[in-house]
Amino acid sequence: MTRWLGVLVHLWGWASLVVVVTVLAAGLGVLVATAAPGALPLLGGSILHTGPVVLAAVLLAAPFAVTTAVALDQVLPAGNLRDALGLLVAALDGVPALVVGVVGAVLAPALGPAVVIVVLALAIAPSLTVALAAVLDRAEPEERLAAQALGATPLQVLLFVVGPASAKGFAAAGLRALARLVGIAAPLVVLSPEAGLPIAGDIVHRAASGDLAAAATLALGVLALATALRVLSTLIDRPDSWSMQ
Amino acid sequence: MSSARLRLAGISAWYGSNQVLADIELTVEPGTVLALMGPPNAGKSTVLKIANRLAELDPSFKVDGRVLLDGQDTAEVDPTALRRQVGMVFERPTAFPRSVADNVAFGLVLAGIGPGERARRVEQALRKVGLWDEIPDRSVSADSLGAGQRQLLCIARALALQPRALLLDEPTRWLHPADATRVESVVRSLRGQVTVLISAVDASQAGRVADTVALLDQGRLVEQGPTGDIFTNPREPATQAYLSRRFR
Repeated sequence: MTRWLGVLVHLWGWASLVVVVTVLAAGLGVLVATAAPGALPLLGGSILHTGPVVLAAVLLAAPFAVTTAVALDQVLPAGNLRDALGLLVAALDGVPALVVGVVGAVLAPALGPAVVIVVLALAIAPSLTVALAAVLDRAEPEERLAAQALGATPLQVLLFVVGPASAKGFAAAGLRALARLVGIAAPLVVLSPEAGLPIAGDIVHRAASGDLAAAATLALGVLALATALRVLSTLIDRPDSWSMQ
Repeated sequence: MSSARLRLAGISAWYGSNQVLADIELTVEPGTVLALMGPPNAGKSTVLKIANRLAELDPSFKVDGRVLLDGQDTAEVDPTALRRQVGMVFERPTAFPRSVADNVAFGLVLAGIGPGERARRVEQALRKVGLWDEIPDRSVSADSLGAGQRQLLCIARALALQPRALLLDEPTRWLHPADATRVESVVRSLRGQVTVLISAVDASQAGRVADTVALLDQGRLVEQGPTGDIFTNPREPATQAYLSRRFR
């Protein structure tokens, strides 16, 4: 019985993989067929416009994410306060991007063009915190203890042991955050176009106005950029269970 | 390097509600080696971690009694400053993922010691453990060393701070016999230079390295005395039983 169940799971796994790959390939095919080479300058301009906005958002979110992650993983003693902060970050990570976008729309009159950066930073900060806290946890407990036995203060443990052990993971978490931001469309759709829309918002507006060729070209650009960032982050910080030797 | 008299006076300890040590009285004279013997979970590692206040990093840990370093109550000393005076090496040879030289200099950098003095102390410490000539290129990663060399490196790292006492927590547990012999030889060579409190992996090791030995059992001190006296003429039946089991 167990053997047959195993075979069934195996077959189901392969069948699912075939379906997923087929759907993705079909989607990609539709995009490629719809895209127009004439829209390529638009793609270049949109990416050039998106880059600084996304980078600014990550730079704005990073200090908050880093300090919260350090507080969660290194500073706060185990107890109710740490649990409460962890739950709060997890809850914020689950807030739909559209809700963040509505908050941005409310803030837009006060913040002006900077609202896009603020909204993207708000959208990414919780997930960046979660990713960084997981990375900080990687330093070997024996190394931390050895440093403490040599008279390291908590800050020195962070700077000399945890930091170097987490450097790759930090870089990878930053790239993943960039990749995610490139793809976030929802919070931007509700913002005023005057605020300056990065590429994802641009796609929605082009599609809504019927310019499907431009939308498809931009979508292919987003796909390529997000995929490149994710592949790069994975190469920098490869999971232990993957062996590429 | 000046060695200190290390005294544990009336030490009792708990992890949560679980009492792990009861009224321990222990003295290590300056420049001597005292080996703690005892079965697993006797409380040997806890005694060591109390001596440099490392145990209190565990929020559930509580301690009663006093630890005196040359008569000064260690509770009155900043714990990080204390740990530079009372070094510790653990059973797992944990080197940092840095070069050999940077490993030995690690504590010196933390203590804010300048490059010139650092280089001098790194050489001195590596010579003490016999690694200076053995590893001519000190820029190689410590990860490339064998377990025995790594453990000697950890001892050098602790010695570089010129501690007044050194705590060794079963430092040969994970080593091959040949490497263990080298570590024991280094421990013996420290006599007269630094006070050493070692948790021995077994009674025979205690016999080989220590001037005095103490037997712990279930968190209580059974007996303490000069190694020769305890091994040839133990007073307590529990000591006789432990030694006869170990040497049977």
